[in-house]
Amino acid sequence: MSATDKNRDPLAKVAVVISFVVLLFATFPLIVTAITAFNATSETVFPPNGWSLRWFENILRQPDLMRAAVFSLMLALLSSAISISLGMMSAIALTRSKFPGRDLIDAFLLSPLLVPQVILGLSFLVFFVRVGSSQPFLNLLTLHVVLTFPYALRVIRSSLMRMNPKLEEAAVGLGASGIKSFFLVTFPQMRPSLFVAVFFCFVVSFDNFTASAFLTVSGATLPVQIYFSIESSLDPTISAISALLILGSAIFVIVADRVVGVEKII
Amino acid sequence: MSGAGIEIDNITVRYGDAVTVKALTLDVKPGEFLSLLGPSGCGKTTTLRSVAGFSDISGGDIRIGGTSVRNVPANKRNIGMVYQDYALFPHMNVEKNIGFGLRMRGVSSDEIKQRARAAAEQLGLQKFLDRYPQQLSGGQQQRVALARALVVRPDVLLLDEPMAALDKQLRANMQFELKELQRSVGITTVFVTHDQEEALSLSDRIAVMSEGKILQVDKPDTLYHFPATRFVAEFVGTANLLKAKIVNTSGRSCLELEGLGISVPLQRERAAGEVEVLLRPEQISFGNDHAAGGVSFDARILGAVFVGAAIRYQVAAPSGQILRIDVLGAQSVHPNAGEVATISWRTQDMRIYRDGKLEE
Repeated sequence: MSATDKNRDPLAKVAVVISFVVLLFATFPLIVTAITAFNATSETVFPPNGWSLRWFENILRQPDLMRAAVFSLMLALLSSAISISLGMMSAIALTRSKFPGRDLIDAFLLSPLLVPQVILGLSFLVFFVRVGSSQPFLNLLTLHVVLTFPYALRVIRSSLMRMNPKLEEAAVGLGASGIKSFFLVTFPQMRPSLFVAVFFCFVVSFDNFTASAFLTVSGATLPVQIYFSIESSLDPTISAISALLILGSAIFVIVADRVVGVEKII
Repeated sequence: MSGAGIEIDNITVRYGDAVTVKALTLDVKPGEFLSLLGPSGCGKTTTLRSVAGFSDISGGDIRIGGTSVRNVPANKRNIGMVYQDYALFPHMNVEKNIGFGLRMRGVSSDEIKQRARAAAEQLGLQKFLDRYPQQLSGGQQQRVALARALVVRPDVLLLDEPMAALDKQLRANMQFELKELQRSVGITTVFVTHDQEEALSLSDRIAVMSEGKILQVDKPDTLYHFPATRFVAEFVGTANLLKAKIVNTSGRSCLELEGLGISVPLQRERAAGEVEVLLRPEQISFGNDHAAGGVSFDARILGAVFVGAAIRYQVAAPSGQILRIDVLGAQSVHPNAGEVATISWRTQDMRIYRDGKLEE
């Protein structure tokens, strides 16, 4: 016992050091990007040659970026809402009942996770061109529901699988109708998983570049618009918007940790 | 409060192609504590669940308090049920758990509070009202499950192996408490278990089940001393079964125990043929006290196990058959392994089974 403790201690210390090094390497580019956003001059350089907040102000003067941000936000919110509603219903069907072909449907519903995004984006482009759909928002919404749905399904399904199916039955035995037993017993226990599902769906949708790029000619979503922007100009406005996104994500993770615990999300 | 009787009338339950309960009929009297006892997969839980309304019956009828519940959904049957894993709601504290059934019945929140507290007090849970199920021990969780089931004043109480998850000491205490509670409330109770000791100690009557059918319904002592079939004899208690033959000579029946060369005259005439004889381990004793009008022979002691109140012996008869004998620890004769000792039993303790069925 004491021997293993002695062996484990230095190893644990090494593990902690390695974790910190990895963390530093992973976050260093983010930190550099965030700092360049405060540059006084119009070059994106590190370290900055003076301090200023004007690039944050400049975001508001970029109608393309602003429009893309609102577009991406709407897209992420709507596709998450749709995916979570569908995911909840599918998860209940897949865990609470047995029917022929259940495992096949399950595998099929999760398959978008396995298809490379380039292929997914290209096939959606071909499909929408064939059917003649020229609604960029609707096209992207369809794509993002397909992209986010497997995450919603997986998260909600795993929480349902951990739940004791006898609980709903016990509630019915105590006089609850089927609907009441769902809303008073099952749903409250699913709530943390719904929060997690929102997080995943939102991030997957808001962040998606590869597949979305196929469906956006003029750079409708924020990631694609950012990409177009750095092709044309390289002033720190892009760094400023990136810094805001990093800040937003950090706040999101901290709130999520407080509400459900970060270990449930990852 | 006096419970309602349950009449299970010729019910059949199917799961897909499999028939799990076959034309089963059983009456549970008002206020009675009846156990459904049987090995796993015998259909006892399915029978309980069909009374609760969770298993659809494909034939027959179930009446509670004289009224058919065949077309009454589970949430309208006014039944209290306790599960093996208690199925407490993990997101509700003890008070909310206990009050759930009352809430579903539209009882006012003041009355829910008062009745939930009263039920908690009855089961010694008043200190835990604000706790959540995962903060309670197994025994406390079981009390919450019982309180939650009883607080709605159900017509019948259904218990699905509620003791299985408890350790032995706690189980003995809870059995005693459950019996007291059931007696004081006077509620009709159906108790599912595979533990024959538990069934014997708790029940007014026991229904022994096997393969979807009831083999025998009787009081515990009748079931133990007069098991209707060989299966019941072996499932309830320990059974010594000896091969024997009934021989009739000049109007008198004699029982010849195989391989022992012993012939016992029987009280009345019986048909000749192959039979089996049942003896309980405590009906056999050392010495030849029962030699007159009984059976007595020398057997070799194979071994002994001390089980507290009794010593359990295994002995080999001259025929080679192994018999189990229970001797109360206080008794004086305690032969050692390897020794040869005389064993004996009384003729009237023998039960005769022909084709697996008790012969009266």
